[in-house]
Amino acid sequence: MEHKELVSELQQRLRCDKEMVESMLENFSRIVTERCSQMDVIVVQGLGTFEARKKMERISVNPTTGKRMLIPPKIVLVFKPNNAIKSRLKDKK
Amino acid sequence: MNQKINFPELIDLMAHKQQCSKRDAERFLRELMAIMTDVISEGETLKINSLGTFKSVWVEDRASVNVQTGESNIIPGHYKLTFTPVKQVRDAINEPFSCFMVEVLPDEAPILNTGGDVVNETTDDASPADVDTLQEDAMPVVQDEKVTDENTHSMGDNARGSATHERDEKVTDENAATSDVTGHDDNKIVEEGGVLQPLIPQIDDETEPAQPHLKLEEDGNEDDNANDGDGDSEESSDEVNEQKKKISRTYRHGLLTGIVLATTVCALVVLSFYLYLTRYNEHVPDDGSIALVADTVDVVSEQVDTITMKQDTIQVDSINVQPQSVAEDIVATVQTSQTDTIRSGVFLTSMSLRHYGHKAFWVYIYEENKNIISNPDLIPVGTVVVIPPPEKYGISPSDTVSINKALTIADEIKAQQKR
Repeated sequence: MEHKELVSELQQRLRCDKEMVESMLENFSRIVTERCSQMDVIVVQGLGTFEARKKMERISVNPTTGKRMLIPPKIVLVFKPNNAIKSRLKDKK
Repeated sequence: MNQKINFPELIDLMAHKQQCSKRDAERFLRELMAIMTDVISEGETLKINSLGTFKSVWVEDRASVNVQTGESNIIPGHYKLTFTPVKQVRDAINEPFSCFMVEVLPDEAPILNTGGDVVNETTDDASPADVDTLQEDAMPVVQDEKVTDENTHSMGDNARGSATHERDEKVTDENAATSDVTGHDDNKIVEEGGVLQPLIPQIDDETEPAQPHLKLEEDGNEDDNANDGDGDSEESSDEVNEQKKKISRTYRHGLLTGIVLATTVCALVVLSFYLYLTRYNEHVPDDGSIALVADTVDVVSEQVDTITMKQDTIQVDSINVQPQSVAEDIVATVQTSQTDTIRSGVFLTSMSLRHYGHKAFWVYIYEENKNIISNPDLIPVGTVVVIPPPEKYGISPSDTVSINKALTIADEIKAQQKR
């Protein structure tokens, strides 16, 4: 589902105008990024959790050139779906 | 920080951010979550422009091992949800570590423990840029240190020079003393054996060089040798007494034989001591040793000094040039560098002219011996300087570029000396 489809779907369900939905989505994303960059965990019942995780530095090798690169440490935003979604996905063939 | 935000809190935040009622916020979030759950559960891709993409990917079958039983089993292929944040979100989250860049490792670098901490990483990153500035900053300080080093070195040289001077004085004193003694004896001989005047100069020539040596060696030798020396001196003094008696009796033959005997005995003693000294030179490095031994020891120590000086200069230079070629440089310079001694009338320029064919290259001799020469215009006589091989600084008397380079260095050195 593309962004536009999502917006129109929400529009239908909420019965409000497009700009409202857009700004609300934007603000939701902003809250997630702001909170996660403070290392907070956002837990949404029935969906999953958004959290920031620290990744260690590592050495990776370019398989074609054989050059070794040092990948620096970083913090990434991860989304963990809850078990219901995970198992439903797993069972899907 | 590290706190858990539940749905109610999220609604509060949302309402605050959107400047709308909590009811609206809750309604919106509930609908959003419902749609997301539905879409994700169906394995569809969901894209939110401002957040990222939720996508389910197929994971192939893979072999695994049951940790508890050790049995190998196959995890069947399944779908897995992945979330890829958009670039803005990714950068915002990674903001604290945004200074790091991916670095290509050199091939020969050892594989370090990948569990290194962040501080290490920052220093590694900063090093290439900082090293240059550090070097530039450090250079004047290093030079200052060198200057002080030179001063101390020159002081040490002066001290050593004075020490040798003292030794020389001792030697001359002793020589004078012995010559006085011998002169006195000779006078006696002359008085007592006036008839033999023509003979005496010859004897003087023979005895005088011998006796100081004897004296010196007797003074300087250690206790076990001193006994022998004393015995010999007693013998010689006995001989002298005999001589006197014979002279007083004016027996020409007796005198002649006596003097000949004395000279031969002296010569033998000197010879034996000379042999002893040459053979056991290393075993007599005492402080109270004679000037002869002290001189040779001094020469040896000077050689050692020059060697250490060589190494010092080599180290300094090689640090500036390349750490890899240190060993080669040392070998090369030790093999090819010569030494020269500053005498009165010999300057760095004349040395340069003699060794390199052009006087402008004195700066390199100065560079090589910076730690022992404080002022290139005022070098103490007797300073042993290392003449670097011409290849080390690219010295070629026929190349004007090389000469001009040397001249500019010379100007710099003069400017430094003025300060």
